[in-house]
Amino acid sequence: MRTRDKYNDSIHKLGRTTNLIAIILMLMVPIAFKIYTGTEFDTAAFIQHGLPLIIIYSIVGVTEIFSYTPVLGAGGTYVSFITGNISNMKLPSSIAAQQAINAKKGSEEADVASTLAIATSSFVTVTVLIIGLIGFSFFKGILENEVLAPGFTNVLPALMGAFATPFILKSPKKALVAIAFIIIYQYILVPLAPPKIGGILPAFTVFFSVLVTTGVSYLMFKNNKKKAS
Amino acid sequence: MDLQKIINGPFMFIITAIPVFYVLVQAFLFYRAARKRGKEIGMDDKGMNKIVRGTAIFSIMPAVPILLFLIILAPGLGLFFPWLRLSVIGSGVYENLIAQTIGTGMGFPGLQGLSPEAYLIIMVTMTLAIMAGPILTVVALRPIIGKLDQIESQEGSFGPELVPSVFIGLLVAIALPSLLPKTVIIEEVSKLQVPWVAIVTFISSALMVIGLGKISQKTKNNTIKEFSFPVSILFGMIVAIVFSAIM
Repeated sequence: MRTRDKYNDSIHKLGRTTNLIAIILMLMVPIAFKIYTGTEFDTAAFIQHGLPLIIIYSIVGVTEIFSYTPVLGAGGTYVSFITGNISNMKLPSSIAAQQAINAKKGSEEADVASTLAIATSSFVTVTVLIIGLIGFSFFKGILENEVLAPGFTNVLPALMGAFATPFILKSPKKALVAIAFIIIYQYILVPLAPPKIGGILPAFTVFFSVLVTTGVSYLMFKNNKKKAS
Repeated sequence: MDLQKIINGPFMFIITAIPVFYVLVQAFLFYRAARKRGKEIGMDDKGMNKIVRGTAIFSIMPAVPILLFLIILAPGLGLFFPWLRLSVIGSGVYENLIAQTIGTGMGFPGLQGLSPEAYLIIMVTMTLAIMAGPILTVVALRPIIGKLDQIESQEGSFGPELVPSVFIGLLVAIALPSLLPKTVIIEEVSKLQVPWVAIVTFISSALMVIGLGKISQKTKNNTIKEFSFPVSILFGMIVAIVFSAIM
Protein backbone atom coordinates (compact mmCIF):
# COMPACT_ATOMS: atom_id res chain seq x y z
CA MET A 1 0.00 0.00 0.00
CA ARG A 2 1.17 3.53 -0.79
CA THR A 3 1.71 5.86 2.15
CA ARG A 4 -0.62 8.83 2.56
CA ASP A 5 2.21 11.13 1.45
CA LYS A 6 2.68 9.18 -1.79
CA TYR A 7 -1.05 9.29 -2.51
CA ASN A 8 -1.11 13.04 -1.78
CA ASP A 9 1.86 13.49 -4.13
CA SER A 10 -0.04 11.74 -6.93
CA ILE A 11 -3.22 13.77 -6.30
CA HIS A 12 -1.34 17.08 -6.36
CA LYS A 13 0.47 16.06 -9.53
CA LEU A 14 -2.81 15.05 -11.18
CA GLY A 15 -4.54 18.21 -9.93
CA ARG A 16 -1.87 20.63 -11.05
CA THR A 17 -1.52 19.05 -14.51
CA THR A 18 -5.24 18.65 -15.25
CA ASN A 19 -6.19 22.08 -13.87
CA LEU A 20 -3.46 23.76 -15.91
CA ILE A 21 -4.77 22.10 -19.09
CA ALA A 22 -8.34 23.10 -18.15
CA ILE A 23 -7.26 26.74 -17.66
CA ILE A 24 -5.55 26.77 -21.09
CA LEU A 25 -8.60 25.21 -22.78
CA MET A 26 -10.91 27.77 -21.23
CA LEU A 27 -8.68 30.66 -22.26
CA MET A 28 -8.68 29.31 -25.81
CA VAL A 29 -12.46 29.84 -26.18
CA PRO A 30 -12.49 33.68 -26.42
CA ILE A 31 -9.22 33.58 -28.40
CA ALA A 32 -10.74 31.15 -30.93
CA PHE A 33 -13.87 33.34 -31.19
CA LYS A 34 -11.73 36.43 -31.84
CA ILE A 35 -9.67 34.70 -34.54
CA TYR A 36 -12.67 33.04 -36.23
CA THR A 37 -14.84 36.16 -36.34
CA GLY A 38 -12.02 38.71 -36.75
CA THR A 39 -13.57 40.80 -33.97
CA GLU A 40 -11.49 43.73 -32.73
CA PHE A 41 -10.69 43.67 -29.02
CA ASP A 42 -11.82 47.01 -27.60
CA THR A 43 -9.15 47.56 -24.93
CA ALA A 44 -10.62 50.83 -23.62
CA ALA A 45 -14.08 49.27 -23.13
CA PHE A 46 -12.48 46.23 -21.52
CA ILE A 47 -10.56 48.38 -19.02
CA GLN A 48 -13.68 50.38 -18.23
CA HIS A 49 -16.24 47.56 -17.96
CA GLY A 50 -14.43 44.24 -17.63
CA LEU A 51 -11.28 44.85 -15.59
CA PRO A 52 -13.00 46.08 -12.38
CA LEU A 53 -15.12 42.89 -12.36
CA ILE A 54 -12.03 40.74 -12.92
CA ILE A 55 -10.24 42.39 -9.98
CA ILE A 56 -13.22 41.95 -7.63
CA TYR A 57 -13.87 38.32 -8.59
CA SER A 58 -10.17 37.47 -8.44
CA ILE A 59 -10.06 38.59 -4.82
CA VAL A 60 -13.22 36.55 -4.15
CA GLY A 61 -11.59 33.54 -5.88
CA VAL A 62 -8.51 33.76 -3.64
CA THR A 63 -10.62 33.98 -0.48
CA GLU A 64 -12.75 31.03 -1.64
CA ILE A 65 -9.72 28.75 -1.75
CA PHE A 66 -9.01 29.43 1.93
CA SER A 67 -12.69 29.06 2.86
CA TYR A 68 -13.50 25.82 1.02
CA THR A 69 -10.25 23.82 1.03
CA PRO A 70 -10.38 22.70 4.69
CA VAL A 71 -13.73 21.03 4.01
CA LEU A 72 -13.28 19.76 0.43
CA GLY A 73 -9.78 18.25 0.82
CA ALA A 74 -7.08 18.22 -1.88
CA GLY A 75 -8.76 16.11 -4.60
CA GLY A 76 -12.13 17.76 -4.03
CA THR A 77 -10.64 21.27 -4.24
CA TYR A 78 -8.84 20.63 -7.53
CA VAL A 79 -12.02 19.34 -9.21
CA SER A 80 -14.37 21.86 -7.58
CA PHE A 81 -12.42 24.92 -8.66
CA ILE A 82 -12.64 23.77 -12.28
CA THR A 83 -16.20 22.46 -12.29
CA GLY A 84 -17.68 25.37 -10.29
CA ASN A 85 -21.05 25.58 -8.52
CA ILE A 86 -19.22 24.98 -5.25
CA SER A 87 -21.61 26.37 -2.65
CA ASN A 88 -24.80 24.96 -4.17
CA MET A 89 -23.52 21.55 -5.33
CA LYS A 90 -19.96 20.51 -4.55
CA LEU A 91 -19.84 21.47 -0.88
CA PRO A 92 -23.16 19.79 0.06
CA SER A 93 -22.22 16.68 -1.96
CA SER A 94 -18.83 16.47 -0.27
CA ILE A 95 -20.23 16.80 3.24
CA ALA A 96 -23.15 14.43 2.63
CA ALA A 97 -20.68 11.81 1.37
CA GLN A 98 -18.37 12.22 4.37
CA GLN A 99 -21.38 11.93 6.64
CA ALA A 100 -22.78 8.88 4.82
CA ILE A 101 -19.71 6.82 5.75
CA ASN A 102 -19.27 8.52 9.16
CA ALA A 103 -15.79 9.67 8.15
CA LYS A 104 -13.85 11.78 10.64
CA LYS A 105 -13.32 15.30 9.27
CA GLY A 106 -9.84 15.69 7.82
CA SER A 107 -9.25 11.90 7.70
CA GLU A 108 -8.16 10.08 4.57
CA GLU A 109 -11.56 8.37 4.29
CA ALA A 110 -13.19 11.81 4.33
CA ASP A 111 -10.82 12.98 1.59
CA VAL A 112 -11.61 9.94 -0.60
CA ALA A 113 -15.38 10.31 0.01
CA SER A 114 -15.22 14.03 -0.83
CA THR A 115 -13.33 13.43 -4.09
CA LEU A 116 -15.70 10.65 -5.16
CA ALA A 117 -18.74 12.81 -4.40
CA ILE A 118 -17.42 15.92 -6.15
CA ALA A 119 -16.42 13.94 -9.26
CA THR A 120 -19.87 12.31 -9.34
CA SER A 121 -21.59 15.64 -8.80
CA SER A 122 -19.61 17.09 -11.72
CA PHE A 123 -20.82 14.25 -13.99
CA VAL A 124 -24.42 14.96 -12.93
CA THR A 125 -24.16 18.73 -13.55
CA VAL A 126 -22.67 18.28 -17.01
CA THR A 127 -25.20 15.54 -17.87
CA VAL A 128 -28.16 17.66 -16.73
CA LEU A 129 -26.86 20.59 -18.80
CA ILE A 130 -26.32 18.39 -21.88
CA ILE A 131 -29.89 17.09 -21.54
CA GLY A 132 -31.02 20.70 -20.98
CA LEU A 133 -29.20 21.82 -24.10
CA ILE A 134 -30.75 19.05 -26.23
CA GLY A 135 -34.26 19.61 -24.86
CA PHE A 136 -33.90 23.39 -24.43
CA SER A 137 -37.41 24.33 -25.56
CA PHE A 138 -39.04 21.58 -23.51
CA PHE A 139 -37.23 22.52 -20.27
CA LYS A 140 -37.76 26.22 -20.91
CA GLY A 141 -41.50 25.55 -20.80
CA ILE A 142 -41.27 23.63 -17.52
CA LEU A 143 -38.85 25.94 -15.72
CA GLU A 144 -40.76 29.05 -16.72
CA ASN A 145 -44.12 27.55 -15.75
CA GLU A 146 -45.67 30.02 -13.30
CA VAL A 147 -46.96 27.37 -10.91
CA LEU A 148 -43.72 25.36 -10.76
CA ALA A 149 -41.30 28.33 -10.79
CA PRO A 150 -41.27 28.90 -6.98
CA GLY A 151 -40.01 25.34 -6.55
CA PHE A 152 -36.99 26.00 -8.74
CA THR A 153 -36.24 29.47 -7.40
CA ASN A 154 -36.26 28.11 -3.84
CA VAL A 155 -33.89 25.20 -4.32
CA LEU A 156 -31.21 26.88 -2.19
CA PRO A 157 -33.41 27.24 0.94
CA ALA A 158 -34.68 23.67 0.38
CA LEU A 159 -31.13 22.38 -0.01
CA MET A 160 -29.78 24.29 2.96
CA GLY A 161 -32.72 23.44 5.21
CA ALA A 162 -32.06 19.75 4.66
CA PHE A 163 -28.34 20.01 4.67
CA ALA A 164 -27.28 22.75 7.11
CA THR A 165 -29.82 22.26 9.91
CA PRO A 166 -28.36 19.04 11.40
CA PHE A 167 -24.90 20.63 11.55
CA ILE A 168 -26.21 23.91 12.99
CA LEU A 169 -28.07 21.98 15.71
CA LYS A 170 -24.88 20.06 16.51
CA SER A 171 -22.80 23.24 16.97
CA PRO A 172 -25.31 25.86 18.17
CA LYS A 173 -22.71 28.22 19.71
CA LYS A 174 -20.62 28.41 16.54
CA ALA A 175 -23.78 28.76 14.44
CA LEU A 176 -25.03 31.64 16.62
CA VAL A 177 -21.73 33.46 16.11
CA ALA A 178 -22.05 33.06 12.33
CA ILE A 179 -25.75 34.07 12.31
CA ALA A 180 -25.08 37.19 14.42
CA PHE A 181 -22.18 38.14 12.18
CA ILE A 182 -24.16 37.74 8.93
CA ILE A 183 -27.01 39.91 10.30
CA ILE A 184 -24.58 42.64 11.45
CA TYR A 185 -22.67 42.41 8.16
CA GLN A 186 -25.75 42.59 5.94
CA TYR A 187 -27.71 45.23 7.85
CA ILE A 188 -25.00 47.41 9.40
CA LEU A 189 -21.56 47.00 7.83
CA VAL A 190 -22.61 46.80 4.17
CA PRO A 191 -25.03 49.81 4.31
CA LEU A 192 -22.53 51.90 6.30
CA ALA A 193 -19.69 51.29 3.84
CA PRO A 194 -19.09 53.85 1.08
CA PRO A 195 -21.30 52.95 -1.94
CA LYS A 196 -18.41 51.72 -4.10
CA ILE A 197 -17.17 49.31 -1.42
CA GLY A 198 -20.67 48.44 -0.14
CA GLY A 199 -21.60 47.23 -3.61
CA ILE A 200 -18.92 44.54 -3.63
CA LEU A 201 -18.98 43.54 0.05
CA PRO A 202 -21.78 40.92 -0.36
CA ALA A 203 -19.37 38.92 -2.56
CA PHE A 204 -17.11 38.48 0.50
CA THR A 205 -19.84 37.29 2.89
CA VAL A 206 -18.62 33.69 2.91
CA PHE A 207 -14.99 34.61 3.53
CA PHE A 208 -15.69 37.00 6.39
CA SER A 209 -18.20 34.60 7.94
CA VAL A 210 -15.58 31.83 7.93
CA LEU A 211 -12.95 34.21 9.32
CA VAL A 212 -15.15 35.53 12.15
CA THR A 213 -16.64 32.13 13.09
CA THR A 214 -13.20 30.53 13.19
CA GLY A 215 -11.71 33.48 15.11
CA VAL A 216 -14.45 33.50 17.74
CA SER A 217 -14.33 29.68 18.00
CA TYR A 218 -10.60 29.98 18.64
CA LEU A 219 -11.18 32.52 21.43
CA MET A 220 -13.89 30.27 22.96
CA PHE A 221 -11.49 27.31 22.77
CA LYS A 222 -8.73 29.27 24.52
CA ASN A 223 -11.17 30.49 27.17
CA ASN A 224 -12.41 26.96 27.87
CA LYS A 225 -8.85 25.71 28.14
CA LYS A 226 -7.99 28.44 30.61
CA LYS A 227 -11.02 27.59 32.73
CA ALA A 228 -10.17 23.89 32.66
CA SER A 229 -6.62 24.48 33.80
CA MET B 1 -21.56 39.42 -39.42
CA ASP B 2 -24.60 37.67 -37.93
CA LEU B 3 -23.51 37.23 -34.34
CA GLN B 4 -26.51 35.13 -33.30
CA LYS B 5 -25.82 32.69 -36.13
CA ILE B 6 -22.20 32.26 -35.02
CA ILE B 7 -22.86 31.94 -31.28
CA ASN B 8 -25.58 29.36 -31.89
CA GLY B 9 -23.69 27.59 -34.68
CA PRO B 10 -21.38 24.58 -35.01
CA PHE B 11 -18.14 26.56 -34.53
CA MET B 12 -19.22 27.77 -31.11
CA PHE B 13 -20.45 24.31 -30.18
CA ILE B 14 -17.08 22.74 -31.00
CA ILE B 15 -14.92 25.27 -29.14
CA THR B 16 -17.11 25.06 -26.03
CA ALA B 17 -17.64 21.29 -26.13
CA ILE B 18 -13.87 20.63 -25.95
CA PRO B 19 -13.42 22.05 -22.41
CA VAL B 20 -16.74 20.56 -21.25
CA PHE B 21 -15.75 17.06 -22.29
CA TYR B 22 -12.21 17.56 -21.02
CA VAL B 23 -13.60 18.35 -17.57
CA LEU B 24 -15.64 15.15 -17.67
CA VAL B 25 -12.40 13.25 -18.31
CA GLN B 26 -10.70 15.14 -15.48
CA ALA B 27 -13.52 14.29 -13.06
CA PHE B 28 -13.22 10.65 -14.14
CA LEU B 29 -9.45 10.64 -13.44
CA PHE B 30 -10.02 11.95 -9.92
CA TYR B 31 -12.86 9.50 -9.43
CA ARG B 32 -10.59 6.62 -10.43
CA ALA B 33 -7.72 7.84 -8.21
CA ALA B 34 -10.02 8.23 -5.18
CA ARG B 35 -11.62 4.86 -5.78
CA LYS B 36 -8.20 3.18 -5.96
CA ARG B 37 -7.06 4.91 -2.78
CA GLY B 38 -10.32 3.99 -1.05
CA LYS B 39 -9.59 0.32 -1.73
CA GLU B 40 -6.01 0.68 -0.50
CA ILE B 41 -7.09 2.08 2.86
CA GLY B 42 -9.76 -0.60 3.32
CA MET B 43 -12.96 1.12 2.18
CA ASP B 44 -15.29 -1.46 0.66
CA ASP B 45 -16.97 -1.21 -2.74
CA LYS B 46 -20.39 -1.17 -1.11
CA GLY B 47 -19.55 1.97 0.89
CA MET B 48 -18.04 3.74 -2.09
CA ASN B 49 -20.99 2.79 -4.32
CA LYS B 50 -23.27 4.22 -1.65
CA ILE B 51 -21.42 7.54 -1.87
CA VAL B 52 -21.68 7.60 -5.67
CA ARG B 53 -25.37 6.64 -5.71
CA GLY B 54 -26.26 9.09 -2.93
CA THR B 55 -24.38 11.96 -4.58
CA ALA B 56 -25.86 11.28 -8.00
CA ILE B 57 -29.42 11.40 -6.65
CA PHE B 58 -28.65 14.32 -4.34
CA SER B 59 -27.11 16.40 -7.17
CA ILE B 60 -29.98 16.23 -9.66
CA MET B 61 -32.28 18.76 -7.98
CA PRO B 62 -29.64 21.48 -7.36
CA ALA B 63 -28.47 21.03 -10.98
CA VAL B 64 -31.88 21.84 -12.43
CA PRO B 65 -31.91 25.56 -11.43
CA ILE B 66 -28.60 25.94 -13.30
CA LEU B 67 -30.73 25.35 -16.40
CA LEU B 68 -32.68 28.45 -15.43
CA PHE B 69 -29.55 30.54 -15.91
CA LEU B 70 -29.04 28.90 -19.30
CA ILE B 71 -32.54 30.06 -20.21
CA ILE B 72 -31.80 33.59 -18.90
CA LEU B 73 -28.46 33.92 -20.71
CA ALA B 74 -29.20 32.06 -23.98
CA PRO B 75 -31.24 34.80 -25.76
CA GLY B 76 -28.35 37.28 -25.49
CA LEU B 77 -25.24 35.09 -25.34
CA GLY B 78 -26.41 32.13 -27.44
CA LEU B 79 -26.77 28.57 -26.23
CA PHE B 80 -23.21 27.30 -26.18
CA PHE B 81 -21.09 29.84 -24.32
CA PRO B 82 -23.46 29.94 -21.29
CA TRP B 83 -23.60 26.12 -21.50
CA LEU B 84 -19.80 26.03 -21.11
CA ARG B 85 -19.73 28.56 -18.28
CA LEU B 86 -22.49 26.84 -16.35
CA SER B 87 -21.20 23.27 -16.92
CA VAL B 88 -17.65 24.14 -16.06
CA ILE B 89 -16.11 26.48 -13.51
CA GLY B 90 -18.92 29.00 -13.30
CA SER B 91 -21.86 29.73 -11.13
CA GLY B 92 -25.17 30.99 -12.48
CA VAL B 93 -25.30 34.09 -10.32
CA TYR B 94 -21.76 35.30 -11.13
CA GLU B 95 -22.02 34.62 -14.84
CA ASN B 96 -25.33 36.42 -15.15
CA LEU B 97 -24.12 39.40 -13.11
CA ILE B 98 -20.97 39.82 -15.21
CA ALA B 99 -22.85 39.52 -18.51
CA GLN B 100 -25.59 41.96 -17.48
CA THR B 101 -23.14 44.50 -16.00
CA ILE B 102 -20.97 44.64 -19.11
CA GLY B 103 -23.93 44.46 -21.51
CA THR B 104 -25.67 47.38 -19.78
CA GLY B 105 -22.40 49.33 -19.43
CA MET B 106 -21.72 49.03 -23.16
CA GLY B 107 -25.24 50.04 -24.14
CA PHE B 108 -26.92 46.65 -24.57
CA PRO B 109 -29.38 46.38 -21.66
CA GLY B 110 -30.81 42.89 -21.22
CA LEU B 111 -28.02 41.65 -23.54
CA GLN B 112 -30.22 42.49 -26.52
CA GLY B 113 -28.54 43.06 -29.89
CA LEU B 114 -24.98 42.65 -28.57
CA SER B 115 -22.19 43.71 -30.91
CA PRO B 116 -19.35 41.20 -31.53
CA GLU B 117 -16.98 43.57 -29.64
CA ALA B 118 -19.22 43.61 -26.56
CA TYR B 119 -19.68 39.84 -26.83
CA LEU B 120 -15.91 39.31 -26.90
CA ILE B 121 -15.42 41.52 -23.82
CA ILE B 122 -18.11 39.56 -21.97
CA MET B 123 -16.39 36.29 -22.93
CA VAL B 124 -12.95 37.51 -21.84
CA THR B 125 -14.25 38.97 -18.57
CA MET B 126 -16.27 35.87 -17.66
CA THR B 127 -13.25 33.71 -18.43
CA LEU B 128 -10.67 35.77 -16.53
CA ALA B 129 -12.83 36.85 -13.59
CA ILE B 130 -13.08 33.35 -12.22
CA MET B 131 -9.52 32.24 -13.01
CA ALA B 132 -7.89 33.25 -9.70
CA GLY B 133 -9.22 30.16 -7.89
CA PRO B 134 -8.07 27.59 -10.49
CA ILE B 135 -4.68 29.31 -10.91
CA LEU B 136 -4.19 29.31 -7.15
CA THR B 137 -4.90 25.57 -7.04
CA VAL B 138 -2.11 25.01 -9.57
CA VAL B 139 0.49 27.18 -7.84
CA ALA B 140 -0.36 27.07 -4.15
CA LEU B 141 -2.83 24.36 -3.13
CA ARG B 142 -0.12 21.95 -2.03
CA PRO B 143 1.48 24.30 0.55
CA ILE B 144 -1.99 25.44 1.70
CA ILE B 145 -3.10 21.83 2.33
CA GLY B 146 0.25 21.04 3.98
CA LYS B 147 -0.17 23.93 6.41
CA LEU B 148 -3.78 22.95 7.15
CA ASP B 149 -2.78 19.32 7.85
CA GLN B 150 -0.08 20.57 10.19
CA ILE B 151 -2.54 22.76 12.12
CA GLU B 152 -5.23 20.07 12.27
CA SER B 153 -2.90 17.37 13.56
CA GLN B 154 -1.70 19.29 16.63
CA GLU B 155 -3.22 17.39 19.57
CA GLY B 156 -4.66 19.53 22.34
CA SER B 157 -4.54 22.62 20.13
CA PHE B 158 -7.33 24.40 18.25
CA GLY B 159 -6.35 22.36 15.16
CA PRO B 160 -9.05 19.66 15.31
CA GLU B 161 -11.68 22.39 15.85
CA LEU B 162 -10.58 24.30 12.74
CA VAL B 163 -12.56 22.39 10.08
CA PRO B 164 -15.85 22.32 12.06
CA SER B 165 -15.55 26.09 12.65
CA VAL B 166 -14.83 26.83 8.98
CA PHE B 167 -17.68 24.53 8.05
CA ILE B 168 -20.32 26.26 10.20
CA GLY B 169 -19.14 29.67 8.97
CA LEU B 170 -19.55 28.45 5.38
CA LEU B 171 -22.98 26.88 5.86
CA VAL B 172 -24.53 29.84 7.63
CA ALA B 173 -23.10 32.29 5.08
CA ILE B 174 -24.58 30.28 2.22
CA ALA B 175 -27.95 29.52 3.85
CA LEU B 176 -28.88 32.66 5.77
CA PRO B 177 -28.82 35.51 3.20
CA SER B 178 -31.62 33.88 1.15
CA LEU B 179 -33.83 33.87 4.30
CA LEU B 180 -33.29 37.51 5.29
CA PRO B 181 -35.33 40.52 4.13
CA LYS B 182 -33.44 42.48 1.52
CA THR B 183 -34.11 46.07 2.61
CA VAL B 184 -31.39 48.00 4.39
CA ILE B 185 -33.29 51.26 4.95
CA ILE B 186 -33.94 51.54 8.68
CA GLU B 187 -36.91 53.94 8.23
CA GLU B 188 -38.65 51.33 6.11
CA VAL B 189 -38.39 48.48 8.59
CA SER B 190 -42.18 48.23 8.69
CA LYS B 191 -42.17 47.61 4.93
CA LEU B 192 -39.62 44.80 5.14
CA GLN B 193 -40.31 42.22 2.49
CA VAL B 194 -39.82 39.00 4.38
CA PRO B 195 -39.06 36.08 2.02
CA TRP B 196 -41.74 33.87 3.58
CA VAL B 197 -41.64 31.27 0.82
CA ALA B 198 -37.90 30.75 1.31
CA ILE B 199 -38.28 30.61 5.12
CA VAL B 200 -41.14 28.09 4.97
CA THR B 201 -39.20 26.05 2.41
CA PHE B 202 -36.10 26.01 4.63
CA ILE B 203 -38.07 24.98 7.73
CA SER B 204 -40.01 22.27 5.82
CA SER B 205 -36.93 20.57 4.44
CA ALA B 206 -35.17 20.95 7.82
CA LEU B 207 -38.06 19.24 9.63
CA MET B 208 -38.22 16.54 6.98
CA VAL B 209 -34.51 15.70 7.22
CA ILE B 210 -34.67 15.62 11.03
CA GLY B 211 -37.80 13.44 10.93
CA LEU B 212 -36.31 11.01 8.43
CA GLY B 213 -33.11 10.86 10.49
CA LYS B 214 -35.11 9.90 13.58
CA ILE B 215 -37.15 7.27 11.68
CA SER B 216 -33.96 5.81 10.22
CA GLN B 217 -32.41 5.64 13.69
CA LYS B 218 -35.44 3.98 15.24
CA THR B 219 -35.99 1.47 12.45
CA LYS B 220 -32.24 1.04 11.79
CA ASN B 221 -33.08 1.45 8.11
CA ASN B 222 -30.05 2.84 6.26
CA THR B 223 -31.95 3.32 3.00
CA ILE B 224 -34.08 6.03 4.65
CA LYS B 225 -30.90 7.79 5.83
CA GLU B 226 -29.34 7.50 2.39
CA PHE B 227 -32.32 9.13 0.69
CA SER B 228 -33.13 11.64 3.42
CA PHE B 229 -31.34 14.57 1.70
CA PRO B 230 -32.88 14.28 -1.80
CA VAL B 231 -36.32 13.51 -0.35
CA SER B 232 -36.13 16.53 1.97
CA ILE B 233 -34.97 18.85 -0.84
CA LEU B 234 -37.82 17.66 -3.05
CA PHE B 235 -40.27 18.08 -0.17
CA GLY B 236 -39.04 21.64 0.41
CA MET B 237 -39.50 22.46 -3.28
CA ILE B 238 -43.04 21.04 -3.28
CA VAL B 239 -43.86 23.09 -0.17
CA ALA B 240 -42.51 26.21 -1.96
CA ILE B 241 -44.85 25.56 -4.90
CA VAL B 242 -47.89 24.90 -2.69
CA PHE B 243 -47.19 27.81 -0.31
CA SER B 244 -46.71 30.24 -3.22
CA ALA B 245 -49.97 29.09 -4.76
CA ILE B 246 -52.03 29.65 -1.60
CA MET B 247 -50.31 32.88 -0.47
